[in-house]
Amino acid sequence: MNELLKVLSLAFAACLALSSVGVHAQQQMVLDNVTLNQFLSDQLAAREGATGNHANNWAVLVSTSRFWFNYRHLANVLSMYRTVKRLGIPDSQIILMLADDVACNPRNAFPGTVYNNADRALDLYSNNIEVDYRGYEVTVDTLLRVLTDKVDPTTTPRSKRLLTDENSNIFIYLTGHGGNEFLKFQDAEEVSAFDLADAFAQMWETKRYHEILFMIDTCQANTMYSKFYSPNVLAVGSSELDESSYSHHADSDVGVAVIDRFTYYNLEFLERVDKGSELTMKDLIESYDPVKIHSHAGVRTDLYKRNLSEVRITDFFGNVQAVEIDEDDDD
Amino acid sequence: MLHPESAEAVVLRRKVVLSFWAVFVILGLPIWIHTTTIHRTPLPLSAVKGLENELKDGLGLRSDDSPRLRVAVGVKESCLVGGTTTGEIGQELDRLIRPDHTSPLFRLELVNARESALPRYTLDCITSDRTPLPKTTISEADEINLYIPADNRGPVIIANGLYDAFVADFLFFNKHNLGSNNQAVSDTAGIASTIDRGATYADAIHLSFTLLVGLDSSTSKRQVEALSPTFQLEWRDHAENVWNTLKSSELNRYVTSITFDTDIGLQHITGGNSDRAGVEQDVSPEKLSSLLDTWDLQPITLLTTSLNSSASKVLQFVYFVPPDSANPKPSVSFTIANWGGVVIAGESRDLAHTMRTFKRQIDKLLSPVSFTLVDATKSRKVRPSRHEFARIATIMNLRGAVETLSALSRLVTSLQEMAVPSKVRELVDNAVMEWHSAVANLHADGDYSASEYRGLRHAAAAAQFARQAVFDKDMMLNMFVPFEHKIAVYLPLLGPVIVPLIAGLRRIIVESRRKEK
Repeated sequence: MNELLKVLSLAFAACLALSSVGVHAQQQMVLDNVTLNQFLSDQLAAREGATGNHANNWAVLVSTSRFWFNYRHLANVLSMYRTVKRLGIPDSQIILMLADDVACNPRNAFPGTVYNNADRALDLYSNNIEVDYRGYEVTVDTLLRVLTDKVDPTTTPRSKRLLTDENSNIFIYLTGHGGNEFLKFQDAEEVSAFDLADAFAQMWETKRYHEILFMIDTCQANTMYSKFYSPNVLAVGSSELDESSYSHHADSDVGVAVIDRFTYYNLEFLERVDKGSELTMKDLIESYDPVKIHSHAGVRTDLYKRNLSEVRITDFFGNVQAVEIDEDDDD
Repeated sequence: MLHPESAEAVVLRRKVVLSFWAVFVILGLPIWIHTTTIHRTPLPLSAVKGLENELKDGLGLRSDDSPRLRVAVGVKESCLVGGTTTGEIGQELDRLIRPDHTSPLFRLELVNARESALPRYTLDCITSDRTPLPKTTISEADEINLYIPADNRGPVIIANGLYDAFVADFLFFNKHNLGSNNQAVSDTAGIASTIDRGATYADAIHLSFTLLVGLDSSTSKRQVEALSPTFQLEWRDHAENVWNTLKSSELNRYVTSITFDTDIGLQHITGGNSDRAGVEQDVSPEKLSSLLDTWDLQPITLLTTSLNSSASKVLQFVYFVPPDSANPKPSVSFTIANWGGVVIAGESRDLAHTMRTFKRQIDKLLSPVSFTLVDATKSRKVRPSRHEFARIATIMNLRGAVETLSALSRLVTSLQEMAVPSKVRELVDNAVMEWHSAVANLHADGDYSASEYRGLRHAAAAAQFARQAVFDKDMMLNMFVPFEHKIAVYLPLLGPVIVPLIAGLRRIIVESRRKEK
């Protein structure tokens, strides 16, 4: 018995030692500011000349939650979908991922509809939506493959691919349940902040974006962008570490919360934006009120070279095709 | 008090413990290592580095006997106009620029101004009365190439960076002598970017034509279809003659007729303005872009799946005929890079004119660009021959291939958790092989008939293999698992097995030592 106790104690001590070594190694992975700045400078210098006007804008909108009581997460995404479409991004340039189908859920008192407000003034699930990935197709692997374009080109249709190039601005919106440096998918798996950071690094190396606006509405959302290290990424999150994000209100007839606070106040701002709007990202960030949102929304700008007061909302949320009118030629 | 073990029981216990250890070490450990090790096929990174150096050195295509002048340039913006220059560097250049100089190309080798002991120079602008040139920005490239025409007459071409230099090299020294007769290309950087702006290489390029007519329009689908066979061959031949499509590219034509009320679409452009002059002003690029959002364009699915294959590229061409009752009816055509073209048929349009407009739009979207040549008296547009552009396109594809392979090298090196399947190695090897074939063809510059373009085909293949390698679907990054999660998984899994094994082994060792004593 004494021997057994001795062995158990030894094993326990070994586990503690290994754990501390592992945690320490992870902490060392964070780039210090000087190294990061130098890296960014080198990367940006190599990409001089690329233009990111809002003629080539894409959106990746993902709801990662399953089950009826996560109705609000799908409403979040569909609200953003409606907004970017209104501002000009066509369906061919939107990747919409819905992990569940609340519109046709047997519990839905209003079948075939999704509302983001208790007044039910606007049905988000109209007949003009194009869902690219639905249900169990929405996985971590799918998201990372879409971002890095590591799909089978012979079997994957163009509509399900993110066909961006070095001049594309991408708006990436994630919502669901999250925690410290992770986001839950389908209540079965997680994507970590490291995975997203490495995916963005691959996108940068393969010239798949000019600028990214990363927006996330989950609990402890700001931790999800803490590991990014690629240039030209502007990140916005709904809550700090150890902070939850909350829903805004519920619909008593639907029976569940229908929208989250952070997304609600984003939409309130975006409803004032039209295709020719001069409103900037600085205006959007300054509109965040911790009292209303019930959490501290964060923004990360150290990877982003432009001044937010010069970045128009439509640089990410809108799209105007680069039209060149033909000159009249005589035949 | 425990009964002492019999000798046979001790032997049995030892055999059991040692057997478990044998299975653990001989079978368990190797299987665990094999199934958890990330498979990374070694890639020929040194070969890729060699391609980078080869491109940087000019692929052996550029003359190396031009005078070199080492300077330290500490400013980012400057310009140099042919003729007299200022400062010490000017005197040095004047010495080099003699009327009887044999080489019109001078290379300024830049050294880092912060590190170099060389004195700093500023290249200043002097506007010539004869040929004013726009300012050009000198980037922090390590080489600036000045192309100075013979007899020091005419503007100087400044090319920064390797790619621009290739273009300028080719234009200046080619057999057609674009750099002679006091003419010179005004902006090589702009030319390079314009070439890059064209349609990128694709396995197949599909052209999709859609007819949208108003409900009461007198133009019918039949009329369009009646004319289209006449133009089909013309379009096909024309598109096949563009420089960045290969013979394997497919051209497919569809005509779909969607009848619907186009008033909404038109009002989107005109804003309900009934005044014709106001309409002309209203037709802005933003409104034309918005018009596209009101259409739901779905090309007809082919019998094969190649259209839906995302390895192909689709260009849309829309012929939009407003209803006869619409007033006014704007008449405008426009193109969108990498999307296609639109012709809105106003009252003055006829179908034949529309078809020719589409042909010009194809030309614009896929064909080589033209250069603007300027001299003292005039400027004119010149379109170099297909041969000339085939060479430039070859270099463009080679540059794309090496950039892609370099990106792959960086990713594989920095992301150690990324699997590298053996297929990626094959693709990289193929890309390198095609690269060398393309360079060999560039050097040969021999049998370069219009239908062959072997160099371009090899270079395009190199670029394609490189893209397939870097976007291989099996080259995925292993998911990040926090260390504490690994402990949480392995501890309950191995603990109940490892602890008794260690205890048993320890007891065997202790007993052996007692026996020895």
